[in-house]
Amino acid sequence: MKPDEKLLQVYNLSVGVQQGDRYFPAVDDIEFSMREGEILGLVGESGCGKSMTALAIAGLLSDNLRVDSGSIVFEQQDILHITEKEKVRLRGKDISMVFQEPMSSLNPLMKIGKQVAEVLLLHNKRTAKEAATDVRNVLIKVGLPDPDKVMRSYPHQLSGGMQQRVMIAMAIIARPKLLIADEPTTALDVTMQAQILDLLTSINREYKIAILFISHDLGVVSRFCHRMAVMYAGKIVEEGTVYNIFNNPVHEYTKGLIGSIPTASSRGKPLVSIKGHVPSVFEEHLPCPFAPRCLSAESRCFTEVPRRIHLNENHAINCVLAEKVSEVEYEI
Amino acid sequence: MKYFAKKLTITVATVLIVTLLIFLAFNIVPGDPVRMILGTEASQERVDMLREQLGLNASMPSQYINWVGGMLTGNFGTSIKYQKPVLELIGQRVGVTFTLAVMTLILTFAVAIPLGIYSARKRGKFGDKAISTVAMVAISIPGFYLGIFFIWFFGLKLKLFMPGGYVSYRTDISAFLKFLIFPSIVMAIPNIAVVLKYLRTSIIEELKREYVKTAYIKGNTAKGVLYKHVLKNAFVPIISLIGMITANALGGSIIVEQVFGIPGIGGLLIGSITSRDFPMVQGMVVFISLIIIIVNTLADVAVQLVDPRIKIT
Amino acid sequence: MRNKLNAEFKIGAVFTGIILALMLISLIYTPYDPYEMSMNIADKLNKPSAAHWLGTDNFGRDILSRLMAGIKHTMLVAVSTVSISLTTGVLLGLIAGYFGKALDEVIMRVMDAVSSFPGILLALVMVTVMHQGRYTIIIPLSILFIPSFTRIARGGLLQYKSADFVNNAKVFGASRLRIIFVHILPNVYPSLLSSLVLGLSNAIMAESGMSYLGLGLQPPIPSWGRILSEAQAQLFIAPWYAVVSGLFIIFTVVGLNFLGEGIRKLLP
Repeated sequence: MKPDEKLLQVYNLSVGVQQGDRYFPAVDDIEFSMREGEILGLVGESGCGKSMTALAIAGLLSDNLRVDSGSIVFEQQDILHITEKEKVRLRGKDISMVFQEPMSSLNPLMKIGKQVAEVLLLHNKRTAKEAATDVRNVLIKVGLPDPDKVMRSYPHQLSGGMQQRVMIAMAIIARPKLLIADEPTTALDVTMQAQILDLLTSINREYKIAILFISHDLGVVSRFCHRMAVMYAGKIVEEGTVYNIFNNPVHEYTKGLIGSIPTASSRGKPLVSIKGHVPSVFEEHLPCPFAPRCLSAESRCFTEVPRRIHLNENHAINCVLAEKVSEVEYEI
Repeated sequence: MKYFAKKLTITVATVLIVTLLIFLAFNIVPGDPVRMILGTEASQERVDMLREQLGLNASMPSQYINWVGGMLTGNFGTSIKYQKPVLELIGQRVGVTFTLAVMTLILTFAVAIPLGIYSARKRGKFGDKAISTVAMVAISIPGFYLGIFFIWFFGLKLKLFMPGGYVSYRTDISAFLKFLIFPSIVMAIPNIAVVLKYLRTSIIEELKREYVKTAYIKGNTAKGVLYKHVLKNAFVPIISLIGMITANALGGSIIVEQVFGIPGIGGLLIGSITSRDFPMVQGMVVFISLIIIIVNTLADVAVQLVDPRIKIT
Repeated sequence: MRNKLNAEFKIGAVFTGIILALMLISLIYTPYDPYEMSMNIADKLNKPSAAHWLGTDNFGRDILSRLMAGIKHTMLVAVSTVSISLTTGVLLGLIAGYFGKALDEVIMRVMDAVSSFPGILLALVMVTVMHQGRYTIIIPLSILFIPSFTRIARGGLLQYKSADFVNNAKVFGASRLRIIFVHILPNVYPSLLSSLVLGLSNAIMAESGMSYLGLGLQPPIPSWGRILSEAQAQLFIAPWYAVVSGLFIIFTVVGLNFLGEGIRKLLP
């Protein structure tokens, strides 16, 4: 594969909740892509569909959810339309995932050593002995200094931070090309958060593993990711490099989000928040779901479906009003 | 080790509570127990003799202590009807009941586990619905009716066994086991329904847990996830059911032994009740309770061994 | 109960309705006298026919009439059993849940002990130590079913103890008793109702088992368990006798079990 070729491309993806014979879209016609070795942040409030997008890529949607349309192309292969057998071969080996709650994400009745080794045994057909050496090395890599003791432990005997390190060890032991991290630091305390992010950064640099980083925390995304996509009510409203978006947010929602991050200069002033509420999945969707809360909304915002507009190669936006933004200036 | 010491203390305490309850039940009888045993027309002399023999002249607390103390040395009392030690009489018949109970337990789990797994995998589909409807009907059939039906259908119609043709294991062990197959099926059927329902619910609950997603993302197939990860977790609550199933099997055997004419402890118990042999009934009830308490304790220990998270109950 | 009635509920209601209707009919009419015996050999152990729909027993009595006459006794035992255990159980549960601590511990330990016992064994012990009357069986069976109601009442009390509507009531100065009986208890009714129906079916099973052993309802009551035990003796010559008598019990119990399950599924 050529270095500039895309690792992951998501086209027109719609995922929704099936209730009886009614279908409610939760992810609505989204599009984004990732390069090899890139860290992409998918940001949005809870319920905006970011986790569902992650699960759709991993092929882990629960029974009541279904992909309505679109395609997910991973290394030139549409992984939505391959057999279950081929999906199984992909999982763990090429695509892996780390979840929000490390405690409940580990099997409570299986020793850590066995749980981590399982990935290798499933894909590489190694002997248990060879796998144990690899497990030991990867545990040291993720910052667990006493790997033998950890391997003999059950999940409940480890702290939350250690459990998440184990989850990461499990996710990278087979050197996948894509790691999906669904709010991996949300359940941890602040110092632990920073350590886990450092660990993910070093993994990304050292093994060139691309990371799809799902988060509601814009601050974390700005420090950790190369590029970002902002989601609102099932749609991606703005996408681009972290630098471009933070320097020149175009969509009113992105502006609001960035404005609501407390900074050193905003100290003493009241916290800014976006008025109104996020529409629920079961509500009727407007062409632009953000229109009712948008400060610059015009009447056509309620009737016209926004198209994706590329401001430049590294900045795209979904907004009717952005059509008049002909030129963008970035501070340097 | 600390856990086992604690468990042992709880078990001993339970035994004491249960013996006390049984003692109270037999001693706060409305009316004179001796008169109830001998009838109102018995001579005063006989009444006094039995009163002395049963140790009823001592105070209640010391009666209890004597009774429990006696049981510790293996003296469960003496049967009035047979004039033999209770434990000896139980010993002669317990082998049959024990065999029947073990066969029932094996059958129950051997059938319920695969059916429970199948039901959970096909949840909401036809196979699952059919199994749960049949299970519902199965728990609605009284054991003695099922027994009678089996005697008529498998015994009289299909001639697969001889109704009433019980053979002692001392005479012919294979004929003995062959005869016990149908009674144990009768006892297993309602238990299968219960275990399979619990197992189905347990598996479905476990499948909703987060670690299932982890197991999938590692590259497990649906079967791998179920057999390598979910089942062990789903079995934990099922292990605690073993105590209940044993209790059901022992309780059920009281009736089923009557239906099939099997000379186990069930028949002995009914006979003792009808002839108002108080010491015999009391001794047997304690004996059966002890077995149930021990099995429950063992089940708790087994759960602890399987699930490292549970340290103290 | 805003959901649609489910299939279990419908089947259960129909089955139970049929049995209750037969019971009501039996109060004023049975095809033959259920107690009248016949010395005539020709009347004994007849196969089901137009004259005797379910045949006759070894005393020449009409089986259908006896089974119908048995319903009211079975129902009397079941209903009294469940009413006694329901009231006792709910009271004990409320006491345990309300006072908590040591009292709660003692009550719940005893309940655990009672329910870990094989029910039939407990009933047999009670029957042994009590004078046998026609309906003595009601007392041991009532004790048997107390624990399930105690657990539901206690669970409900603990669940709603700190609910918002209870706190509201407290703010408005409702007394403790009023809070328990007016505000909390009605929330537990649905699960109590489902357990009540299942309790009826369990009571019928237990009673018929005891009567089969000769330790339940005493003669001359035509109890289903006793009828079956008499039928078993004739199994070789008159298998239909046992089959139809047993089907009566199964029909009733299946109906109540479906009804209970249906009610449970209807719960919000």
